[in-house]
Formats: sequence, C-alpha cells, structure tokens
Amino acid sequence: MAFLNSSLIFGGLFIALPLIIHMAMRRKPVPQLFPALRFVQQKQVSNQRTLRMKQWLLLFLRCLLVALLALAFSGPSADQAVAGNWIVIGIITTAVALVVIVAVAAWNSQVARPIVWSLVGVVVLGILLDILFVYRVSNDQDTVLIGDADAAVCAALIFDNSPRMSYQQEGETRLERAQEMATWLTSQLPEASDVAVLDRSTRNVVFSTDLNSTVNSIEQLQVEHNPVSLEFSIRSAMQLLSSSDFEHQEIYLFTDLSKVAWESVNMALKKEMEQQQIELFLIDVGIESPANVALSRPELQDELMIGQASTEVSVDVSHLGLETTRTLQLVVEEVDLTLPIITDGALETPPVRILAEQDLTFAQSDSISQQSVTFSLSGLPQGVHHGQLRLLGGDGLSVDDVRHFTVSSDVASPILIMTAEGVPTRYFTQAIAPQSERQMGRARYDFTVVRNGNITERGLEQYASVILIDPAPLSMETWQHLTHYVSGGGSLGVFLGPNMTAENLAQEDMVASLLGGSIKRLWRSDERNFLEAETNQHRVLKDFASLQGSVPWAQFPVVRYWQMAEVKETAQIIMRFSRQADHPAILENSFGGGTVITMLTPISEPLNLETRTPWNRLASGNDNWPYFILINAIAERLVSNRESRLNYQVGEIVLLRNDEGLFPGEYQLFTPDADLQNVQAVDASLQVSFTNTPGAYRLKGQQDGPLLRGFSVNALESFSDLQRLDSEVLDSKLGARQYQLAKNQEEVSFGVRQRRVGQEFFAVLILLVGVVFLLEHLMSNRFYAQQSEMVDSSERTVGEVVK
Amino acid sequence: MTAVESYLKPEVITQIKRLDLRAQFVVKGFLQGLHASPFQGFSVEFSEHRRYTHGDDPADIDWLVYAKTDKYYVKKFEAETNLTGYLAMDLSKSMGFTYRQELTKFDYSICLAAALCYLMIHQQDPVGLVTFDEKIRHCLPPKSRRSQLANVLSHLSQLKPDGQTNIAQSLGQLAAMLKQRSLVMVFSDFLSESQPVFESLRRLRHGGHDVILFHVLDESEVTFPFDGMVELQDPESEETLVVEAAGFRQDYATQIDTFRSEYQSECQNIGVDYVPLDTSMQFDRALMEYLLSRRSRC
Repeated sequence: MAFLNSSLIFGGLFIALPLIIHMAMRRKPVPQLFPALRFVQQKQVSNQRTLRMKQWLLLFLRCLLVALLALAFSGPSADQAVAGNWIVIGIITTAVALVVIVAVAAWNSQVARPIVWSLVGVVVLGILLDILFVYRVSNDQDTVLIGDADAAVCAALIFDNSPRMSYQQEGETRLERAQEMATWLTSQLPEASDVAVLDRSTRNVVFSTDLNSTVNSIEQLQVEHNPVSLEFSIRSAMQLLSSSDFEHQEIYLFTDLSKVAWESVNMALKKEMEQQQIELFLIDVGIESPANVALSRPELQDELMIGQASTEVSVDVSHLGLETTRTLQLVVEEVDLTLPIITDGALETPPVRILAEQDLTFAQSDSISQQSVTFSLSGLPQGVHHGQLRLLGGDGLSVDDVRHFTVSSDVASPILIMTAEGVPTRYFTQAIAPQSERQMGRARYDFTVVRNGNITERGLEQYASVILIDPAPLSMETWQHLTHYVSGGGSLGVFLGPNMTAENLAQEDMVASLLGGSIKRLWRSDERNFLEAETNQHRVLKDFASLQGSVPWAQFPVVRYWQMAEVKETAQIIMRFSRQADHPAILENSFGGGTVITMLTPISEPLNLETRTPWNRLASGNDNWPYFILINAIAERLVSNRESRLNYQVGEIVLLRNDEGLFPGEYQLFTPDADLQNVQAVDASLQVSFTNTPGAYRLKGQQDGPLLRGFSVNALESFSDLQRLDSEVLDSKLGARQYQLAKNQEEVSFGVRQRRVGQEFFAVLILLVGVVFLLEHLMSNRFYAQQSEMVDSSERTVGEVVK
Repeated sequence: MTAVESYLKPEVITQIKRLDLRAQFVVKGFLQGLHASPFQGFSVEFSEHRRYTHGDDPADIDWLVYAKTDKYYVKKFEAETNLTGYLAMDLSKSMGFTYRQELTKFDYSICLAAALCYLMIHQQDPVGLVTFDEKIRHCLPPKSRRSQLANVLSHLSQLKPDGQTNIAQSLGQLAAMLKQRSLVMVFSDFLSESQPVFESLRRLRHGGHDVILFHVLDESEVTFPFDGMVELQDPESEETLVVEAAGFRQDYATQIDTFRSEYQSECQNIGVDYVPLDTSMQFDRALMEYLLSRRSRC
C-alpha cells in the first residue's frame, strides 16, 4: 500500500471534529414545565436507547466521512495483485467499527448481555480476519514496488525489429507503429529518467543522455535481418537496468507477439525479472489477423551446373489469411561483365530474364498452408548466375516475397585416377559419371586414368581431385608429390586393394600422416563382415541419414581389408567394419589445406576374378544402390573441396574457395544495399562476415579480364511466420501478473499507472464518501428535521384525533 | 365569519378581560352561527316564527300562519325545562399550564364554563358551580335567577389553580352530594389515573346524572412542539425528565392519542359525553356538545 500524498492522511485527525462537536457542544437541556410528563415517561427508556444508538451511529458516520475523505485525498494505491485484499480489509474494518459502535451503544443501553457478548465476538472475529488479510498482503511475494507516478524511472525500450516487423498495414509498418508509440511514450516518461533504446541487434547499449536523444535513437531503428533472440535483448536490458540507481525499473517491449519470436524466451526469465523487480510492459503492435504469402528458402538440386546439365529450384510457398492468387516467377540475371556498378548510391545490376512463372491459388486459412513449386533451370552459360524467385502482387510482408539464389555453371570437374594395371575402374567412373552423360556433356566429372604411370611430373593442381583406386605400391616421390598436392588444398581419395603392400604403406610416417593412420596389415574376415556407419552426421553419409539403419550393408560383405591402427586426431572415421568395431573402413583426414578420404577395401572390385577371391561385393553385389550413393557422396566430397557453397542465410559467414592461380586475390564486394567493400583472399579463401542483408552479393575481380563471382543470402524463414502467440503461453512464460499488455496509448497509460502507482482506490473511496454522506444526510435529516415541518405534522395528527 | 362569531376563538377572547363579557361574547358568537341549525328552538330570544326547514319537527308547524300565508312556519320558541347544571372545575396546578403564554387550560375552562353558565341562565336553567382539587373545595348551589350568573362569574374569576388533584375522589364526592338529577359538566385535563375517574363517572351515571367531560389540554400537550434537549418538569409532582424532544414526538403523539381514545371509548360505554379540547380550539365545539346533551334530555 502506498500513498500519492501521504501527508494528507493526517487529515484523518479531523475525525476529532465530530467527536468534539458531539461531546463538547452537547446542548444543555431547556427547562420546560410539562404536566403530561407521564406520557413521556412511559416511552422514555426505549426511546433513549434508540436515540443513543442513532446518535452513536450518526457520530460514527460523520467520523467515517472525515476519515474516508482524508484517505481518498491521500491517494492510496496498492499493487493490483493485492488490491482485492485491501478492499476486503477496508470492508472488514468498517464493519468491525460499526459493530463496535453498536456493541458500545448496546452496553450503555443495557441491552441483554448475551447480545452484547455476541457483538464482541463478532468484533474479535473481524479483527482476526483483518490481521489474517494484512499478514497475507504483507507476505505476498508477487507484489511489485509501487509509488509516485511522476518519479523518475529507469526504462529500457526494447524493439523487436525483426523482418516480421516490416509487415505493413494502412501504410504503416509494425516497426513504424512501434516507433510512433515509443516516441509518444518517451514524452510521457518523467523528466530525468534513464532511458535506453534496444533492438534485436548485437550492438552495445547505454542510457541516452536525454529524452531527445532517446527519440533520435527510436527514429533511427531499422529492420534487423539477423536479429538476436528476444530473450537476449531482454537480458541485455535487464543487465543495463541493474546498473541504474533508480528504484523503478521498467522495460517496454514493442512486439508483434508472434509465436516464433517468443519461442526463444525461456521460463527462467520470469523468475529473474521478478527478483530484479522489473516492470514489464508489452506493447502489442502486431496484427490480429495477418495475411501473408511467403516463399521459403529455395532448394537447389545442384549449385554447380556442369556443361549443359540442368538443375531444379524448389521452393515452398506458404499462405496465411484471406483467399488469394499470386504469380510466382523464376528470374535469372543476364550475364554482363561490366556490372554491377554503383551509380548515385544505387546499385545497378544486369537486367533479369524471366525463365518461368506459375499462378498459385490459396483458399482462406487461419493456419499456415503450403504448396511446393519446382522449376527447372538449364542452359546457363559458364559463370556465376544470380536469380530470384519472386511473388508478384503485394501483401503485408514483402520481405519474404523475394528469395535469392546463386548457381554456378562450369565445365566438368577433372579427376585424375591412378590405378594399377588390370584394375577395373569402370565401376567407379560409371557410378559417378555415366558414359552416356559424359558423351552428352552433362557429366559432372571428367576422368584421366593413369595406370602404373609416373605422376610426379604431372601438375596436380589442375585436377579437382586425385583418386587412387587399388594402386600398386607407390614410390617415395609419388607419395611426396601427393602430400604436396593435398597440403596445398587438393583432395585425395585412396581406395586400397590387393595391389598395395603393407611395406609400401608403412615405409614412411608421411604416408600415415597423409592417410590419417598407420596401416598395420591385411585383415581377413568372413561373409558376416560389412560396412557400418560410424556417424550419420558426416557429409558423405548425409543421404543415408533419413533411412535410419535400413541400408542393407550386410548384403555386401567385406572379407578382406587393410587394418588401420593409431588413427590420428586429424582424422574422422566415417564408417567401420561390423566384425571389428575398432577397425575403420572409411575415414577422412584433414591434411594441410586439403582432404584425404581413405577406404580400406577396394571400391571397384569385380565379382569373378580368376586369380583371387574378391575382397568385397560392394560394387558387384545385387541391388547395390548403397554403393552407388556412397561413391557419389565420396566423389562429391572430394571435388567440393575446391567448390564453394553459394547460398547462405543472413548472418552466416560466407567462405569461398579462392585457389591461387585460378582466382584473383582481391575483389570488390557489392552488397545488396549498395555498399562497396574490398575483400582479399587469405589462405586460398575469401571470407565475408557481413551478410545481414538478404540479396545477391557480387564479387568483382580481375583475372585476365573481369571476373564475376558471388553468392546469395536469404532471410530466415521463421520471419515469415506471423501466427500470434496465445495469451496462455505468454502468461506461462512471463507470469500472468508480471506484465502489462497494451495496444494503444490509453492502454499504455492505464497499464503504466497500474504498475507504477498500483490499483488506485480514489474512485472507490470517493464513491464510499458519497454513500456515507448520503447516509449521514438521511440520518441527520431524520434526527433534526425542521421544526416547522414537525409542528405541521403534529397539528395534522391532532386534527385527526379531533375528528 | 361575523365579528361576533370571532369571539369563539380563544386568541380573540383573551383580549377581553372581564369574564362576564367574555361569556356574553362567546355565547352570542355561538348563537349567531346557529341560525340555520336545528337548535334554534332552544333559544328564548329568537323570533317567534320562521320558515320551516328540513329537520324541524312537523309538530311545530304553526298551521294558522300556514292558513294565512300558505307557507310553513314553525312557532315553538320557548322550552319548558328544569335541567339543573353543575359546572365542576378542576383546580389542579397542571390546569394553570400554558406553553404559548396565552390562555392556560384553566383560563380556557373558565371561559367555557362562563359561557355555558350564561347560556343556561338565559334558558332559565338553574346552574351551580363546584370546584375541586383533591376534594371539593367550593360549591355554589344551582339557581336559575339572573343574579346567579353574576355569582358564578364572580366566583370563577377568583379561582387559582394550585396544588395536587384527585379527580376521582372529587367526582365521587360530588355524586354523593347531588340529590337531584343533574347535568354535570367537568372541566379538567384528567392527568391522573384514569380507572378511578371512570369509576367515579359510573357512580355519577348511576345516580341518574348526565355528565359531559370537557377534556382540556394545552396545545403543547397535544402537539409536543419541543425541539432539542428539554428538561420536562411536572408542575404537580415536580418530577423532571431530560429528553431529546424530536425523538419522542411520534411516540408522545401515539401516547396522547391512546389516552384520549381510552377516555372516548370508556365514556361511550358509561354514557358520558366526552369532548376532547385543547386551548387552540374554538369554544363552539364545547357549547354544541352541551346543547346536544340538553336536547337529548328534553
């Protein structure tokens, strides 16, 4: 309980006035002869009792009137949570006082003692109830600090400036609405308050120097495409508020109350806010019934298109709200080596070519419905191409109406295959690049096969990968040449087989370092031995992940293999043998800048061999689709070492391969918001960390003429989900009594006053004053009616008697 | 209302100091108002003939006049009566009470008694006077001579209300004293125990006497006009009581009403005429009551 004007409570001392008037100003009786005294005597006792009772009651009402007036003007208020208890306390106290008056009057009037004692019992019961309620109120841990509404406060204005807040309605985005409300709110804050403006970015925040700079900060807010979690922002605000000396600490959170935004808010936050006694005001600037059609992040079948190969671009189109029809377009920029350029602060990019479009119709839906659309993309010339999937026509949220993608069109990746004489390589080559595809120029790989030849004279950098398929023992120079190649960023695939010797593999530590472990010996097993995945998380096994153990590896026994021991820390086991769990079957080793994938049993073993028993039936077994997937994944992993990922989400760090000799060492980076940066290659790679704006990022370099590269960055899909949070969920996260929710200025004002001042009792008390005044007026009128009226009425009575 | 009739009002009659004049004016005022009433025949000073009106006894029609004028006239104008009247005055101290400081109950009663005496003497009825407090103090024997009026009025004007009263005993004493069938007119406030009074009245009635009780109260004793805290004192017993007047008014009115109703009811049972009066009321009501009583006896 707090008082706005606590000094006025002393006005309650005026309660003495009616008492003094009653006691001291009591009129002396006027002596009067009256022969008919006996008629007065007959009713004297009962009338005196009634009169005294009424006088006490009237006195009590007058005292109560003064007390209530003093109490009302002192402005009592209590936390909303316990306001009801205080009202109950007030009612009980008044009732107790009333019963006390009646009891005293009854005692004085010599009413039957059992009645008096009953009244005393009621009084005692009332006092006990009062004590109980006061105890409960004073021990309520949920109450908040209340006090002066005009006292300076320490306030943090948190804005959810995620892309979702760019939802537009009536020509105003949610963020603009929040800014408008916040500007008004700032003008309502008491002078000398500490105010800080926070959003969902990671920048450090301090208190504004004055309210004007607060308004400036609010006006400068922009949509943050890579926001931190809402909880992070709230915690930052709490940390900032804890550094303030002000007693009242308030957080104003401007939010659209979307379900996705609040998923990150942990229940533990509620407890911490309670402990820090922070008042939380949620200002809901969201839309009750949003309507939106959103594109998901495009899925590319292949980011790299080889020759005349085609790829597929898939996108999910989700819908929420009213019935609508939208057109989805696939566009790709034309190739123009002179662009981009920045002209007058605007980014000038090549014109786009519409490759496909499709009309999509959505029925009205209160929950999100989804359609998938797939476009085929082909016929692109060599180079990097930026494209867009875009929805024509507008809706509230435009940020998810356009999605960006980047594909690269290139020639087939050259692979050098080194093997022994007589080893069939067709199983391998056919699996990853069928002959028919190669003839049509659509194969991804182009092979150069060397049998028992010397590769030391050959420049290996021109190859995307070097693969050893059951090689014969290699010379020291060859091993050194391969080591040099891998350490320079090359990728090496080693599929050991019967042609290799243990001595050759163990001759130098260099080989063990290159392969990621020491080859000990040839291991003989039986038909019950097969490959088993060590981890499904590895990129090589990603296609098996969804199958969850239903891959029939047991149908492809491995009876011979090279046993590797002492696996190095740089190596990661991808698969192992089922009979000997500590024997790796496939492992990947990072060596220098490159990668080596070693398989300890042959990859291209035919079924029928004249001279020996086949080591495994991976390639020759029936229905050997696992082999096909595995080989392709290994090849892709090896080749991708030289390729770069071209499509990212906002906030991701972009890493592009930039091999010396193949690419220039320095680029100009054109960001989607027309910013120009210089980027230099370090350790054969380009790193771009400022990817907070969705769109196409273009790299422009010089390598025998202009060279254009680039990548695309898309906004997170979660920001398209406009579904609202249920109030029950919000209550469970923040505590039903721990926050105030407001939608407009009136509700904000009311809520702020409720939390800052608490539940005010002025209106209730004034109402009570009115009621008590009315009662007092009625009673006093009854007691002290005008004499003339009384005489008139008496005359009427006599007249009736005479008749 | 004519000037003469205004003397029926107590506040007007107080302006006349002489009791004989008061009585004369009251009776003249009363009779002036009776010209259209059925009681005209009781007067000896009226014209001998008047037009027959509804309510007159057809036996009184003067047929000779009818023969001459072809109109009905009544001619009976002088009553043959020997009704003996006694005016019994209460001398208790309470009768001297007045709230407005105008007419006391005693003054009012004397005025009324004088008027009745005047009326009776002029009808040649013998009238006597009895005064009492705790017992009968004086007794003026009834006579019908005109000098009796002077005697009665002279006696009345010398009376002072003082001391205690015992109405029942006094009336009992009167009943024992009266030998001849009479009309007893009692003037009192009857502020004493009522049952003994009723007993005495029964005795009077048993003796063949007609009784009219003029119950005279002060205006304040009816209206209880006090306000605030008052200390009420009984002038006879000198008992005092402090009360908040406003709180008692309603109850008092009920009490006094009950008190009068009790007298009204009991008197009706006994066959006594009961006339409740207060000092603000006109005298004609009392006189009318007398005439009604006299007619019933003729």
